Amino acid sequence: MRNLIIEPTSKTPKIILNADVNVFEISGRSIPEDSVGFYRKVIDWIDDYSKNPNPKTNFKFQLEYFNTSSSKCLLDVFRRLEKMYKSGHQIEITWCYDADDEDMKETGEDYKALLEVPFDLVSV
Amino acid sequence: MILNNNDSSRISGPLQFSYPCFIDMLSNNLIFMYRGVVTSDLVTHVLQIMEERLEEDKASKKTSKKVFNVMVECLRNVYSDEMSQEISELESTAILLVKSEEDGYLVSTGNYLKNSEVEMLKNRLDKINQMDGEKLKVYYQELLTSPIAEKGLSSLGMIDIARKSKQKIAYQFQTVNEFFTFFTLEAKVIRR
Repeated sequence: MRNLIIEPTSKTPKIILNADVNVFEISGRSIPEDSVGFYRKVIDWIDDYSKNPNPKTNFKFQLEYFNTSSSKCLLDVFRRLEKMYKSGHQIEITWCYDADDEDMKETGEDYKALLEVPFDLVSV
Repeated sequence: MILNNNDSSRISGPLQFSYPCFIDMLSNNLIFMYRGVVTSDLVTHVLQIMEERLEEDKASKKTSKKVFNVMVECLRNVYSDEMSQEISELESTAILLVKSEEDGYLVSTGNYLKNSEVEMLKNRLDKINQMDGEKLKVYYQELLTSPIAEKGLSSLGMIDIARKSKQKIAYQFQTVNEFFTFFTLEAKVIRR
């Protein structure tokens, strides 16, 4: 399958979804004008990937800040991963936050509470 | 140099406002001020400028991040959706002020609303202001997971402001005429 690589902009995060090298990362800031449109690409990619995923998938999120419409979209991304996990695939989510960013930690805890998928909070 | 207001041969028209405006901003410690239409591009530019202003003002990284978050959500409230047909020209212009205070930063936005929108917005803010941290968390998670429309997203933004600022959201509605009300929202980020 084709990899999805999107370079970061002042409004959108960096996306690396590379099944060949088993790297799955979303990082940076996320305040896009059209969050749904932006994350649609990620969700479509996951839908495609879930048909034939790698033996182990660790999805890493390292966000600086994001708006509330992105927060809904991120939940949709997590839901897709949760679905894969529930259907028997080995899926892990790693939520990285800046050591002194308590808000980003709290947001990670919110997601963790809402999901049934291995979800690690890691201070970096 | 002190400007002589009577000396109209030197300064005329709008320029005569620059000095009083400057003094106002200086004495109120306003580090940022904008009036106009708020678009997605503008938000990005404002954040870029604010990054420098906060650094100049010796804000910590922690504080800056909180100010950014609060600003993004405050601006979302005055965001002008170019696709929307219902918004008049008057409603699409807003004001944004950031004031540096000894113990933190005050972010304030102001914009016109239709009088008919006031009650719902006031109820929403009052509901959020009555909640403590734990209740806000539960409400946030509830709205995050519910299939919500634009109105719910606006509530989500306000809960976010309340949670990140850890303060009540101050607001004011000033009736302008039989059609419009001016809505001011104020959120404080404590220096840390």
